[in-house]
Order: sequence, then structure tokens, then C-alpha cells
Amino acid sequence: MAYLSLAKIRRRKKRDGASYWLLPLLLVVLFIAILLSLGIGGVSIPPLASAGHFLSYLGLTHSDLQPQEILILEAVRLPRTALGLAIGMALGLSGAVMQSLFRNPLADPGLIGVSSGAALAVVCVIVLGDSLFASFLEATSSYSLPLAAFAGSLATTALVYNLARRQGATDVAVMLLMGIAVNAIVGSFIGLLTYIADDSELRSLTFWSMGSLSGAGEATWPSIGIMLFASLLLLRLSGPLNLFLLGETEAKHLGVATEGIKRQAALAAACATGAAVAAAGMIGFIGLIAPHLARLIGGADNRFVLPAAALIGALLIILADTIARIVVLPAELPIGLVTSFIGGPFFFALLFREFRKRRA
Amino acid sequence: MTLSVKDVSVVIGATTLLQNVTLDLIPGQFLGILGPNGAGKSTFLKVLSGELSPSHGTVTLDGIPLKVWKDEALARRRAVMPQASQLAFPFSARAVVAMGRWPYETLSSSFQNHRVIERAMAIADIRHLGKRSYPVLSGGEKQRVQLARALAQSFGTEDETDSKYLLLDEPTAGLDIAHQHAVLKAARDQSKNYGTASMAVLHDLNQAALYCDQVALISNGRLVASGATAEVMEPARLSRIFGCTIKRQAQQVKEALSFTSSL
Amino acid sequence: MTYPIRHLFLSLMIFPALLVSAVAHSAPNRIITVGGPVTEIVYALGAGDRIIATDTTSKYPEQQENLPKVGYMRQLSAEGLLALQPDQIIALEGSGPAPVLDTLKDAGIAVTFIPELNSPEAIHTGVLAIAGILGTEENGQVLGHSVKEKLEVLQQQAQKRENPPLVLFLLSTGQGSPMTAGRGTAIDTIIQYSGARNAATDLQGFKPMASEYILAHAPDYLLLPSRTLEQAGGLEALKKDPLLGKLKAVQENRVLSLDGTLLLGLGPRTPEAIATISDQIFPNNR
Repeated sequence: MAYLSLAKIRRRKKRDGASYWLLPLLLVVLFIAILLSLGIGGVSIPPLASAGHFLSYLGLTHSDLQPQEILILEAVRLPRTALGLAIGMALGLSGAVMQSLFRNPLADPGLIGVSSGAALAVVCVIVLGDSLFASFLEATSSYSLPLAAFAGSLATTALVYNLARRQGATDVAVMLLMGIAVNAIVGSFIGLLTYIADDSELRSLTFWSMGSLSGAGEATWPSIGIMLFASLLLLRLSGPLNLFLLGETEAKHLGVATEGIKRQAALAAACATGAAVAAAGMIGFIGLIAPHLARLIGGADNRFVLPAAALIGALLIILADTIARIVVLPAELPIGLVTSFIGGPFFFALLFREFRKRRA
Repeated sequence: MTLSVKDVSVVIGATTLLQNVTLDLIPGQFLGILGPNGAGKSTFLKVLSGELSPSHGTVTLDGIPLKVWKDEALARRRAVMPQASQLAFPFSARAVVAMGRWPYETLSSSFQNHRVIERAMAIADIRHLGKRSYPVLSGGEKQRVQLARALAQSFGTEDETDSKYLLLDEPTAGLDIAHQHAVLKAARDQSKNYGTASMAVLHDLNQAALYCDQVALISNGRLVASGATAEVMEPARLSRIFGCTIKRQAQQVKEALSFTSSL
Repeated sequence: MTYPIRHLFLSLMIFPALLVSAVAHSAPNRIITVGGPVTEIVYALGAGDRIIATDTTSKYPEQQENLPKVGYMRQLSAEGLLALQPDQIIALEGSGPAPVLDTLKDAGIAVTFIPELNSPEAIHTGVLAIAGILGTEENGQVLGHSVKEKLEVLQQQAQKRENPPLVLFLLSTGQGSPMTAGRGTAIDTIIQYSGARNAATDLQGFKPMASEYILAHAPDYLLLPSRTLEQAGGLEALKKDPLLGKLKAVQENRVLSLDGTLLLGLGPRTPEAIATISDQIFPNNR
């Protein structure tokens, strides 16, 4: 047919309406935040000097940093910043995708059991690890918590997804309800294990649930890889997810293979969030706020919202981690504490703004 | 080259929603579906759109079962205007209309898309709403945006020759009288000017008589009659189906049929 | 950056650092202690002035209150620690996270783990190990020996007691089910060595105890951290408590209290803690 040949000629075109010019701007802001995060910390290294140090690898400048400063930059701050970038991206994107999938501005990956599944697996390893999973711990050593968290989140999401399947089709409303039920059950198991836990295990659990990037290092590179890969998958869904916002039936009528999109979205979001939780524990609010901020500055079109939520998520995590690292020196705050502390009031502001707009 | 329903039954649990319905949608014709509440009109539309698989019988487009069609290819052939569509995110009305061009994402130039979208918005009388946020529009305005979206989808590309199918589920619900006429006129024009097979679930007998080329009467899940409007809309048959007295008013030749009803 | 490059790079710049640390290792004088008992032992060995920072689980002695705190022992910050420029970190086993301590080792800082002090023998070995690091072996021998000896004497005394009384420990009073200490806790050891029986041996670790259970067990003595007793308003206020007031131990003034830092973990002061309790329970025959 005639239009098939046209397809090849007119591949990618300009889309009307969305604020794509904001994306490079966000990228610049993110870059500044990265320099800031590399330059600020317990040991003072001027941001320009650290930038100069990295450029020296390209033969552009001469590095005049002390060995200890180089160690701090490369063994502490660099892996941390890289992990922060990946986690922010993964959480922001997963949040945006879940909100579209469930057509609900308050949705986040936690709804389909990603976080609770990871939490249950981690609680199992921390509390029962020595007695029940000794061989697992031995075989995986420093990877055991991340592996457990990742497996837990995937398993729970798969459970929710399959429970919601009826005759080969998954209803997102049913998925939401199944998610709530599964989360409740998983929560009770976590409670039970928390009861069994001893004092130090409890402290470990509490800190894990508040999140921290301090584990950044060799053990987190696989998580970063998974997050990047899953993020790319999620970004590809932005177009079809727009149509999902009209309703699933409407999306199907417009030619979206809805079952496939749902499966991909749930799987990729579970992978991305699961890997994030695995690497840094629970970090709240980013998945909720990043997409909202993106919509606030550039409209609701997912082809803008998804990449923007990824960039904003990364920006928020990097800034929150910088704050977490410096406010209580020489100790550091759990990053989840910082994101919730800033995120809570921000969310209030967002709600009030929305109410005002509705009244007007 | 038709969208054909052959001997279709839909049974859900113990309830039979449709029973042995056979009907063709003919390109260039505007078909009105009439029947009392719960007769199976919407079920019939769902079967036609592929949303619901029949328990028995076949639905084919160009002789190929709907199930075999890829979602994307099917979307380039038939558009559906839903009864009500909520949107929780602040898309502009124009952006919602533009979603109708999704099936042609890789086939149509942005210039052509722009023209089609403008035309669809003009027909639905929503050009002045283009920049408004969809969620804050009134119910009737939302309906018209959905109409424009369906129209944008059914306009296709300039170089297509395949016939299009436009399915409207109670398109006049919630609209003021002027816009009710505008919607029906749009569907009829689509058939007349572009050879589209349009189909609308309707409640107003006079409007059906005024705009539709063909009418199908559905009652208790069965197709009672279908064919040219004047032949199908017999007062006696209508009275029996709807359970009230329906009379045809005296009329001149070439004037549309008109009906009055009373209990 | 890939690992091989990073490793090569790290080893190149760590080499001089290692030389420095080898010299420093003989007598570390910028020490960070992580874990309450570790801090306590370093002070007991007379090397408190060499500590530059401690963690939040370190509560004793009072001098260390003025030192910078590096956070909770399991949530240390690599950069925070590095910025203090320590030459030795002595940490209780379980301190972490592991990658943070690995980074410190990479930076040429000596990191030594002390096994948890969960038994009298462990106190002895812990004291010796820490003394070895500090270069105060003689002090270590003396302290370790005296702790061990005192504990052995207390244990012998305890074993001779007939009809040991029942002691119930409660971490808190007032609202809800109060926390008690079961098997495997320092409090369990302290109660046993003082010649009494722990009323909560059915439980493992710190657990909330049901009110009915508390009444049913009818302990002969109630043991509280001194702060808990203060917060409850003292013994007289305790007698009016709807639950604890019904206990014979409370009505007949058999309430023991002890500084929390003594109760919550074993350490060099444990013999004194045991003796204090033992003296209150058996005032006449030592």
C-alpha cells in the first residue's frame, strides 16, 4: 500500500505542543548539580578543581589535587553521584509511568508491590539470614541485600500482575486492588519479622527503610546497569502511555497493543524501582514529585513528562544526597529523610495550588 | 470491503446480550442503531469495535476476522467515539484531538496532521477551546473534543483508498440541541464526502430519521429490522419495540420522516 | 570508569599512604571508636585522649560527649570519617556499611573489628585486642584480668544461692506493653550473675511483654533503667500505676534501678553493675 513507503521517508518529525526546549535546560541544571555534589562534602575540594581533575583524564588540564582528595572524589563522591543519577532517573520515570498506567496522579510503583516486595525480602535476609539463608548469604556476600531486594520486588509485581489477569487481559483497576491486598499481606509479614528481629537488626531495618546512597561502590554497578536499561525501556513507552491516559479502551481503539504496554511498563518499572531499592533502600516521594514537577513546568504530554521526570528525579536525588552528606557532619542523614522532609511540604503546596485552581 | 457481523451472539454468564445478529456496515452510509435501554446497542458497538469478542459468530473487516488484525492497522481503519472519557491530567483540548493521529504517527507529515486536526476541531466546533485544559471543560465540550479526536482518526492520510469506519456511542448525549445536530451532520458528511461507514447509537427517532441513511432496530439482543431508514422505521414496529404509541406525522414527499410518541 | 583503571589508580596513590600508616600503626593517636563498649574500653585503658570521634551508640564515659559523633555505627559516612583524618578506626563487629569501611581501608586507614561483647569471655578478649592496637598491652592485661576474675567470683557466688529470686526487667513503663529483656541480652547475663533468675527467659532478645504475663509471673524484684524510674515519677508514683502497682515487688519496695549505660551492653563496668544489683537483692550475705 502507498503509505508503507511513506513510513520510511517520514520517520521522526517535530511534535507540536510540548515544551521540549525545557529538556536541554534541565540537563544544564542537572550538570551544575552534579558539579556541586562532586565539589561539596566533609573534605572541601573546590568544584572547579574537581572538574579540572576529571578533565585532566582527557589531557585537557592538569590535576592539582592531593591523593586523598582524589580518593574522595573517585572512590566516594563519583560512585555516589552516579548511583544518585541512576536512582533519581529510575524513580522519576517509574513514577511517571505508573501515574499514566493507572490514570492516577497519585500512583507510584509501590502500588503494585515493588517496594513492599523488596522490603519483605530485605527483612527476611536481615532477620532470618543467618539461620535460614546462610548458604545464600555466603554465595552472594555483599550482593545479598541488593539481590534479595531486586528479586523480592520482581516477584511481588509478577504476583500482583498475574492475580489481576482475567482471560489473558489485565484490568488496571483490578491490578490496583490486587496491589493493595498484596501490599497489606506483605506488610503483615514484614511486621511479623520485625517482631522477631533483635535490637541491632531493627536498627538496620529502620535505616534501610530510610534509604542511603552510602553503599555506592562496586556492589552497586549492576543495579545501575539495570536501572539504565529499564529506564530506556520506559522512555520508549511515552507515546502509547499518552493514549492510556484517555482510558485503556480508547488506547486500544487508537491502535495501542495495550496488554503488551502494560506488561512492559509493569516489568520495567519493577526492574527500575527494584534495582533502586536494592542499591539504596527506600527513598520516598521522588517517584511522586518528579513527574508532578515535570507537568508543572512543561505540560502533561508524556513525551515530555517522561524524560523530564527522569532528569528532575536525578536532580532531586543529587541535591538531597548533597544535603544528607553535609548537614550533620561527620555523620550523615538517611537520604529518604531529606526527600520526605522536603517532599511532604512540597506535596502540600501542590495540592493547595490544585484546589485553588479548581475553585477559580 | 465491509465491516461485517455474521450470526454474532454475546453471552456473559447466563445473560444473553446479543443473539444471532447479522449486519454489514456499508461504506458511504450512515447507520443509526435504535432500540430501548438495555437492548444491546452498546454491546453491538463493542463487538464492532473489537473491544468485545463474540461468544459465537464472526466479525470481519475486509473478510479478515477482527482478532487477526493488528491493533495499529485496525486503528487506521476504524475510529470510536466513546460515551464519556475522563482525563486526570491537564492535556489541552487540542492535544487530546491530536491523539487521534497516533495511528498515523509514522505515516503522516506534521503539516498534514495539523490540517486534519484543525479540520476536525472546526467540525466539532471546538477551535476556540484548543488551548483550554481538557479536565476543566464541561461535559458537552468534552464530548465534542472526543468527536474531533475520532474524526481526526478517521480522516487518515491523503493517499489512502481503504474505506473507514466511524463508530459513535450515543454521540448526542449531554449536548445542546445545536451541537446534537452538528454531530449528526458531521457523521453524515463523513459518509457522504469521504465514503466512510458511520454508525451511531441514537435515542431520538426524529434525528435518526433526519440524518441516517440506514437504521437498525435492536430489541432484547436481537436485530429486529435493518435497512433503509424509511422502510425500517414503521410506526407499528417502533411502537412494539419501544412499548409506547408512536405515530408518523403527515408529510410531504422529499421531507424527512417525523414521529410523535405517547404512552 | 572501569574497575581495572580505578584499581590501578587507587593502588598508585595509596602506596605512599600505606607507608605513612605503617609508621603510624605502632601507636595510633587519631582514633575513631565505633560502638559503645569499644569507646568504654579505650577510656578504661587510659587512651581516651587519643580518641578524636565516636559514634552515637557511645554513651559512656562523660568525657566523650564533647567529641564529634560520626553517626550510628551501621550508617557511617566515608567522607565524614575521612575528613576527620583518623589513623585508626576500632569498630564493634557489625559496624558498616561494608563499602564505607572498605573505602577507608583503601585510603590507608587501619580498620579493626572487635567481636561483639556478648559473654564474659568476649569482654576479656575484647579488652586484650583493643589494648594490642593501642600499644597498652600491660594495662590490657591488668584490666582484662581483673574483669575476668571479678566475674568468676560473682559467678561462683551466684551458683551458691539457693532459691534465687525472680527479677523482671522493664525498659519502659506507662502506655502499652512494656519491653522486657529475654535470653541473649546483656541484662539476662547481669541478672544471672547477680544470683537471681530472669523472669523473661521464655523470650529471645528485647520483646514487649503482655500485661497479664507480667502479673502472672509475680516477680520478686522489678529492675528498671534509672531514667525510666525517674520518668515514671519514682517509686511512689509506680505504686499508683494501674498495672505495676499491683505487683508485690512494687508494693513492698523491691524495685531496683541501674544506669542504662551499664544495663544495655556488657563491658569493663559489668562486674560493678552485677555487684550493685547483687548487693541490693542480698544485702546481708556477700
